[in-house]
Amino acid sequence: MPMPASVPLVIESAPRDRSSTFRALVEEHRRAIYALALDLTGQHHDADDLSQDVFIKAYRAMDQFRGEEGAQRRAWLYRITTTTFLNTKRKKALAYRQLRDDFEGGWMPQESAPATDRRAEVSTVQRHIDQALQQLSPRERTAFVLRHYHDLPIKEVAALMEVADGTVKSLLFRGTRKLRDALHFYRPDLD
Amino acid sequence: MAEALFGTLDAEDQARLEAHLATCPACAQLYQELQATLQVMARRERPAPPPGFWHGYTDRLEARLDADRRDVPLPTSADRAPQHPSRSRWRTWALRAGAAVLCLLLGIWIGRGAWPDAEPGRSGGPAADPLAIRPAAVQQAEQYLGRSKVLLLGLVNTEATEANLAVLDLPRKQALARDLLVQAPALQADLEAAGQRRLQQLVADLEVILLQIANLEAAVDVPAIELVQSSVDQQALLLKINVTEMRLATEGRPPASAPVHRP
Repeated sequence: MPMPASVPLVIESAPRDRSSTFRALVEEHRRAIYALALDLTGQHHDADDLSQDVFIKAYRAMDQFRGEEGAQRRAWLYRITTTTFLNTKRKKALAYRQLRDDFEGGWMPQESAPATDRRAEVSTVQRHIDQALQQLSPRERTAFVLRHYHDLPIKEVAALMEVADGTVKSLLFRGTRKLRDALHFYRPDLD
Repeated sequence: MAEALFGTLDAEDQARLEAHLATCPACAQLYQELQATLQVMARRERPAPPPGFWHGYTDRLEARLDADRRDVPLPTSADRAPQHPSRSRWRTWALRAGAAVLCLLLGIWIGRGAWPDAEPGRSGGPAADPLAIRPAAVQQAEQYLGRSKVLLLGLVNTEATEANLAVLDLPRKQALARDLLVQAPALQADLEAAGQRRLQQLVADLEVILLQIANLEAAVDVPAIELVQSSVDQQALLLKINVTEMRLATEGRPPASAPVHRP
């Protein structure tokens, strides 16, 4: 008997059905969500944590979401990923700002660039590309990653980030200029 | 220009942009540089996760969901009764004595039950290797915790009075606190890379106290010192350091005096 074209995410909710539906959701989308998490965070451990947080939130919200298969579920999970990432960054930045405010005018250690030689062995170019991405603000990085590495149209990026199209364009433009400055020594004529 | 770079301009707007670029060298240069930048960024290769990462991913996730469902909310700092620094020094000392006794008992328990069997080749336990090498980050963290403990003990074990300020030797403690603070970010990054989350969190907790110490006024500031002492007590930092040191001491490295069972 053929499956209906539109299958609700949650099929009548005996706990075993819910669990097996959730497992299927995770198995289908985990690699894509991990990939996005890694693009956003730049670190494997953070990407692992973020992807797990996303699926936990998805599990809690499963009853509220009844979408089509495939693309809509993916978009839903992408949205959870970007908002979770941005909210986490916002909280950390606020906590650090509050700490700095508490000691305003006082002594603070000089901020140093994060060590990058502890990542897995990668070529110099890859390392510089990753470093350059880390110099973007969380919102610039989110917009850039979603547009450039996940091929989402600007409208869709705007929907995921819950901002206007114009804001996304502005973030992309500013972000790309920062990347230009960070990678200025890579010119096509040197290849 | 952003629309042109990311391929969303219609033909009419594209023509208009090109016409402008033909007459504006600055914009043309910027556009060219941004295009070249995107070409470089397109060379990025997303690193693969570590080997074995996907094995058990869903099981780990479900275990976390199970734990989440059973989680009992811990009392927040708002629930704890505020500790008044000037009240009950006896109580403070009693708490510290109790913590010391607890550490002693914990150390005895760990010592009796947790040493790995030193007999080589015996299955079921880690091989006893006195030269077992631990990650460099963990060794650095041990030294870091040791220095932090000395600093904190010197601070909390001296009653904050004007008469004792010379004994406290604040400038020296502040210099030490600042030195530790400079090391903290790199150490946290190393611990994160080594998967040592608990150690990383302890270093982060210490960072806040060290900032308070580093910013104490060198002149008479008894209430501020009492506040730092109170913070150390509230967060049980010395207890956490002691427990962590004991845990690290028992992980994979037997003491010099551990009995070796020979067949």
